[in-house]
Amino acid sequence: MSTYVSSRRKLDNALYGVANGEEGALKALYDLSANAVYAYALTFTGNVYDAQDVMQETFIKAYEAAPSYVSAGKPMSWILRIAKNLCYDKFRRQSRFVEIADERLNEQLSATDADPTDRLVIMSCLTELDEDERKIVVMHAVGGVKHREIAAELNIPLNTVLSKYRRALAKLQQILKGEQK
Amino acid sequence: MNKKQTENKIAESFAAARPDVFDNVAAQCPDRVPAKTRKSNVTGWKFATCALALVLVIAVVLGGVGYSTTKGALNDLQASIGGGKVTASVTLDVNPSVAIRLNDNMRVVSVDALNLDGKKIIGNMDFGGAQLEVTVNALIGSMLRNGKLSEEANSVLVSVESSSQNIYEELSKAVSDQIAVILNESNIQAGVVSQWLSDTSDTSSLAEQYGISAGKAQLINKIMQSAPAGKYTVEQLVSLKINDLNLILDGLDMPQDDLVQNGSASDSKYAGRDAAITAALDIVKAGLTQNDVQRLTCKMDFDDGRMVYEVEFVYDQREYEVEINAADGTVLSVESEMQNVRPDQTELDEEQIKDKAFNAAGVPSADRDAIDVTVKRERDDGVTEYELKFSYNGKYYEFEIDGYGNVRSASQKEIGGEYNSELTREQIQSKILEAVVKDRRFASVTLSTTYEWEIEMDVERGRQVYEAEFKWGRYEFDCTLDAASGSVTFEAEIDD
Repeated sequence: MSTYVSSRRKLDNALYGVANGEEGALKALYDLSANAVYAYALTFTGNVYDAQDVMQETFIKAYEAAPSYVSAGKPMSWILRIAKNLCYDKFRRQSRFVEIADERLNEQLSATDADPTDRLVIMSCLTELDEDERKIVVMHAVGGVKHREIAAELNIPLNTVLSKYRRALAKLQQILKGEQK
Repeated sequence: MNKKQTENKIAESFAAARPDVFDNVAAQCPDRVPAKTRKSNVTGWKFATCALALVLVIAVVLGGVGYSTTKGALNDLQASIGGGKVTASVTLDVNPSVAIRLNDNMRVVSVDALNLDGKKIIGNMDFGGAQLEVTVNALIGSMLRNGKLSEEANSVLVSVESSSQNIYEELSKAVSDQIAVILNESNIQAGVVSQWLSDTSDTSSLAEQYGISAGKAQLINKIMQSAPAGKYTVEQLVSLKINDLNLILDGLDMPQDDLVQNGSASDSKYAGRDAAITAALDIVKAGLTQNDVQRLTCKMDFDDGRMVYEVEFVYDQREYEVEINAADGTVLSVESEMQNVRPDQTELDEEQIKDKAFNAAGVPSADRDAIDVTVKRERDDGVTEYELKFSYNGKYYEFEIDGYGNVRSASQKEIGGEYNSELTREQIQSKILEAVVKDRRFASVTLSTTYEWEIEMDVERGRQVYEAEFKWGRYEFDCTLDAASGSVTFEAEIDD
């Protein structure tokens, strides 16, 4: 948790740096949050290329919005909210989010640097967990967002977030255990 | 693989799959001019103002030296313009606090820092014998230069201490106007609050206790007196800067005899009133506009440790009160009630209200005495509102009933497991701490080392639970105690 506290401050500083035109601030912002933004976008899109587009647009939007950023101690939630809104915008024309197609996603992931175990972890997150579970796992495990913040973002009770997180992690542990055998 | 390892593996896997788009991002984000360069003109002006004022202050003093050839003559001159008995003082509070002491001739005897920031603002400047105008110019210039006054924090509290009301009126007007002019030249709309400082024991003891100026202490006392009882604590208000206190003042109905407000406090570091109103309308109904509602008001306030916007309006015969987090514009709470309050009608007493709830729940008269009902009551718009919670016959009930007996909301849920309503606060704390200390990190937690406990009863998925929050050192705990099984879940986070 203390790691998150310090990375939160770094992220806050990076956002203020971007707002003030400080050299290297945009790169710092990107380095601190790109993994979380990409993973979060992937939970919505289920498509590597759409997630890449959303990630790119998220940082451009964050750059534009940085001058109006006011720290409430939740910089990662702020950035992920931009990503979420972009996902909604992107898919507004469709009646609902596309179902995550296992084969296509696996094929797309094969073209990345992810090794077979990485691909299994990502596939499991995206196809074995329900919608809330995968968002919670990505926000907490990849983005370091506190459970309480996740509860507020997803508008579900804290205890539900905690139990869903526990359940999701147990499922993933089970899958990885099977893989190791 | 343990929990931590699994979390790390998840993070690593997504990182491995992530493409690098930074170059594309950077190409679409044009270089911003660094803030220091952007602000250089304004800062330059601020510096010029301050430097000019400083030159004037020095000129007054050195001028005296120039005309005097002996030490005695200098002393005489000092006494005639800058020395003598203090007959009035003007305190400027922003966050830096400084007091300007004046003699009969309205010349400065001394400028005293009332806190550390005030000391920085004064620096090496010597104001002995200077005119008030020059002194205010230098001090406000220094506050601008040090970033204590800005577009986001435009408020200054001017407190005048004098036995004469005429002197108070003249000084407060002159200083307030001057501050407005100085800030205006930096393109900042000033929000100046001025008051006549009375030397009361209440004010002095508050100032002494919290190490704040008497002016700020008096302002806090006035806010406490004007606000509904229990709305704020002194500690909360002491921690706020003058700008936030000024924002709170805007929402209070203060007698103008006590305080004079010139200009409005800036809320530009917050989400803004327009954004707050839009968020409030949107949460009630997507697409709702200001034209669709009546009696729309938006006031800034301080609630639960943070600045909030309170947006109120009437829509579709319901009165809505929406609280918005001023920091990020998110909705914190929404309350609504029907408009048709009947003030001519007599309110029912608590027993009659309970009977209304029992009737609605179908509880026979014979069983009513044995039921433990939790009742909360509060006044809203002149009407008492009751919140009642109880359990009967395997069901958990919640009612909101107004003082006239109108049931505003009602809910009932099946209770899973054996319902246990007998737990006292101490028992709940004990059961929770029993679970907490099993975690090796928190083995040394004891009740006496914890603080700020908040316990509420709730129903989750049909089970009665106690939700508790408390703090221990830097940790904040969120706990849930299942009333039937006694199982406890908790999360601890560092509260930074």
